[in-house]
Amino acid sequence: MAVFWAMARLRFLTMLAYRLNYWSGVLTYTVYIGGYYYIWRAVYAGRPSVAGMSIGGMVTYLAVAWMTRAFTYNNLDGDIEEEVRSGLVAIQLLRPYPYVVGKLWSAGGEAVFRLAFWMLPGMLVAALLFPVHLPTHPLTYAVWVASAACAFLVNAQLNTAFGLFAFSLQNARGIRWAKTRLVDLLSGVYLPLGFFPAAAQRVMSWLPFRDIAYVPAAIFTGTIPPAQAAAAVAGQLAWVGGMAVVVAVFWRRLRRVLLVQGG
Amino acid sequence: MAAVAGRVVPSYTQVGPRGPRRYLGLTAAYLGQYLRSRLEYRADFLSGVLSEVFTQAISLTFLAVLFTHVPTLAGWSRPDVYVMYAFFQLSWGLADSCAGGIWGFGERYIVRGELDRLLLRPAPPLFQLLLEGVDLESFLQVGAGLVILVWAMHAAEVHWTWWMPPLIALWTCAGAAIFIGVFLALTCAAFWVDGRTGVMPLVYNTTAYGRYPVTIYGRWLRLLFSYLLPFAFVAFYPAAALLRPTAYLAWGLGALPAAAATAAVAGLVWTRGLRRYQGTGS
Repeated sequence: MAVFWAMARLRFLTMLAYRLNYWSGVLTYTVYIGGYYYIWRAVYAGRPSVAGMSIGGMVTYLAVAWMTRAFTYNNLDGDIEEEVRSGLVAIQLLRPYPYVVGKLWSAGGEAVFRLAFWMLPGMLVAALLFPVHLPTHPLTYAVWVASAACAFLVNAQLNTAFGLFAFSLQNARGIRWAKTRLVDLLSGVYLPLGFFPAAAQRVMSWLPFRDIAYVPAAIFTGTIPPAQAAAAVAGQLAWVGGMAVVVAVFWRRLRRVLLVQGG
Repeated sequence: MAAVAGRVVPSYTQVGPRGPRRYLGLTAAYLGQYLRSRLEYRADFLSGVLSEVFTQAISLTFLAVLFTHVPTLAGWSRPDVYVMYAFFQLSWGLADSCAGGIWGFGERYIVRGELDRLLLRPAPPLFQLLLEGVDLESFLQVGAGLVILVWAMHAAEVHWTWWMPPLIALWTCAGAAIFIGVFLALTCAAFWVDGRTGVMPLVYNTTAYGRYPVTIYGRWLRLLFSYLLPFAFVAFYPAAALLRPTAYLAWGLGALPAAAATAAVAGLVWTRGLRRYQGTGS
């Protein structure tokens, strides 16, 4: 256990070492949120609501969804791919802890940095710049924190599984880029999932992507009413478990086929 | 002639053809070398095409879903916005396929001192920098942009006239010049500042603002994207000029002076920066 804490701490300190990281995250995500804010402002021009959502609700949703992404985002897929491809993973395998669990903890260290330096200040900036409505009930915040934590676990494991799977593909960089865009679309950071056609929504309710950004943001804005919030978080927890199974299966397959030459 | 640390390098004996033919020959040599190394990995190309098609489909899905709820965005219909998107892809693809040297410039050429190599060769260093960064896979984006443009213009019921194809080609080049100019000028910060400044990724993220009608933004952003970082001239003004020539043709043609001005500023910053360059001593 101490080993894992140390890995998380190390990753946190690595992020801390680059002074650029202190302000680049907030600025980058403000640019993202700003872009979508102006698009939606034009969409709402003269309409009180679109698909049952007011402009205030929409802006709040986008800010929280993007900031949840700022918190959960990591490069685990790229890191793992790189380590497997270069053979570095052989040294990692000699170490006395499970490789993928170690990766998860270091991603956790990064997430704590992102939370403290990017997400919380970013929400503050977004609340100042854009017409964001904050929930009034303290319980909403508590459920939202739990939901965001689950979102991190689903996303980190999804990236781990993708990294373990994609190392064998050609042009992994292009595919990873496409995958990031797909996850952004399906997790609802471009637009709330309620805007998709009904059939698409049914399919998405069976996929883990909505748990990465949509669920926490929808809980925050009340799109998922408080009465159903607990069920939504339970759904996220189910996917945390589901993705753990997927990671385990991919990891076993990789260990069977992996052949590192020299080293 | 290259200037190193303020002094002019002694002249060399020129062999082979001169003038434009020399540059064409050099370009062909660079591309030939590039293709030889790329063809080793042919499977790369197919997965490159697939991930490109996929990425485009995702961006278009966002627009398609958006327009199921509203008929227009600031007065522009769905096909209109697709035309803007297509122009953006055309120019971005062209710029990206020869901007590889720009993205990692500070790291590779300044910190590691590889610029020395370019300065020692008898060809303009900027010309070499752009050719060394050629990545024809990014050229797929140009193909994707062209397909989307033809389809979107059909959907927007624009009738083709003889002047459109040459003008579209001109706009694509102007847009690419704007992108390359802006990012070259920014990457030149590496001549003055050690380490990353974080400005490049920030401006990179704002380019996406150029895909939409510039009228949706507030006054300051509109001025910013028209005059300081003229991304509005990459996609919005050319597309508007095609769709509504009476109102926007003059603005659309403004892309050419905008590109010229951006390239001029970038060229000035580049020569100023080169004069400061002292190598790493390695």
